[in-house]
Amino acid sequence: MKNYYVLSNGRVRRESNTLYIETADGAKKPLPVEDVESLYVYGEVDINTKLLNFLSQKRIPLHVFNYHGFYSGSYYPREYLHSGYLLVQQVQHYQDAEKRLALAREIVRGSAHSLLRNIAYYDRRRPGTAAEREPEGEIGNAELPGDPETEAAVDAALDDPSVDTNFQADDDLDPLESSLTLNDDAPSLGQIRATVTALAALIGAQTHVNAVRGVEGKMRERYYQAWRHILSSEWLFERRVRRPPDNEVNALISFGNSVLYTTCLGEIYRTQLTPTISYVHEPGARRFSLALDLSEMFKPLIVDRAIFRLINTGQLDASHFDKSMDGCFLTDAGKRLFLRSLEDRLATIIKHRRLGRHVTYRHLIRLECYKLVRHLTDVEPYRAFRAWW
Amino acid sequence: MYIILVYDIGEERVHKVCKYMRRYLPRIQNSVFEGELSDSKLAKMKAGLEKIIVSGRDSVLLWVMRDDHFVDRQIMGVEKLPVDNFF
Repeated sequence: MKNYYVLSNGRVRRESNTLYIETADGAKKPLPVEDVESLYVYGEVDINTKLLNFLSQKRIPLHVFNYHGFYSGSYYPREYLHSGYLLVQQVQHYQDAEKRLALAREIVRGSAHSLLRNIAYYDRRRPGTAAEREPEGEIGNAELPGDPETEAAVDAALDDPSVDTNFQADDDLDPLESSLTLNDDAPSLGQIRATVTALAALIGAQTHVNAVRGVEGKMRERYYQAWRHILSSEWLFERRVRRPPDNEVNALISFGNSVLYTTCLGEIYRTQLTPTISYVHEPGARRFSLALDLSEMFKPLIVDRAIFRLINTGQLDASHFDKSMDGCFLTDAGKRLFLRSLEDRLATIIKHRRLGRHVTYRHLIRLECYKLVRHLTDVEPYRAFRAWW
Repeated sequence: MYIILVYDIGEERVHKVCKYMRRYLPRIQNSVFEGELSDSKLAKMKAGLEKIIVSGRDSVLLWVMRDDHFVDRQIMGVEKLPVDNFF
């Protein structure tokens, strides 16, 4: 099952019990409906209720993006995996402050681990040009084996229960902040790694979900500082700017994250979980916030690594961006290139340790959902995703 | 499962088979389909095909491989219907 992307303008229709895409130039292409995981619509496309009915019947979510490539919304077909019991459990784990905190901490630990993995990875490959930091054939399973020492240190920091538990909410972060803030304008990767690790060690001590989120925000801020060491120098990236993104790198992050968000949503749809009840993020009225929770853990692995690779190997260049308007956006060719690379990453296969079989990165997201289900139904405590390769 | 399916079907039914197959796999040439299907989808597809074809006259051949890694796909001349999930 794959995602199918419609970037051209035209019409998607149901015909002969399958999907057909008619592009504006008159070409008509069949699309094997049984192979469609979800549909991504970037172009200006006509659809009708007949199609929506068909998509519901085949349980295919349809995600719509606007002209600039920003996420607009999803056609989320009627739920087909119902579980009243799980819904009750999901709500209870949200309402019980203790239970929610435990889940939120673990999710943020998972995302801390992913951030640290990226920093550590590029710290190891520090010498050489940016392009040399991207090994040939890295997509498709030839990732460098982890450095056991770093792994151990990271894991220990994340799981250490001995950390000062008197530590309290947001206000107390400031003294800590000053001790962690580096006077140096451009901290080295090693310094950033130390800072993020120190911040990660504080997750367990937070007594409030807001404070947990605060730590996660601070870690991410530090993590973005590492990008100037990772990307070739001509790519300016000072800080994360959204709505609209102000430069190329921010445009890529925004675009990539929206794809990952919908991917997570698609995986949640295939489970009994309700996508609106979340633990790290506040369950919002207008968002499927559980997808936001999940995507945090996978952004560094899927989106960020795809960006590093595309930029450092010179596949993306200035011609793939449009800065003529307020902000910076990907052009059509840029979108295609980036989507293809994201799709490649999602299809990357690794051997799952515990399951003893090969799974794709995309499937890891589904497995994460199952782990949540097991936690909520009291089968096994949740342990967030930590890349082990 | 990675599948290559070719068929030789009586003229009256050939279009029916083609239409049916399009639900499951991308067509790469006339009478040739190729792509990835799960075990269950493959079983479902075969059951459906069986209902369309006349077993005494029509012929469908399937190569079923565990993974596309086993396939060295070579092309001579033009690739008539390239497979893609970007439109």
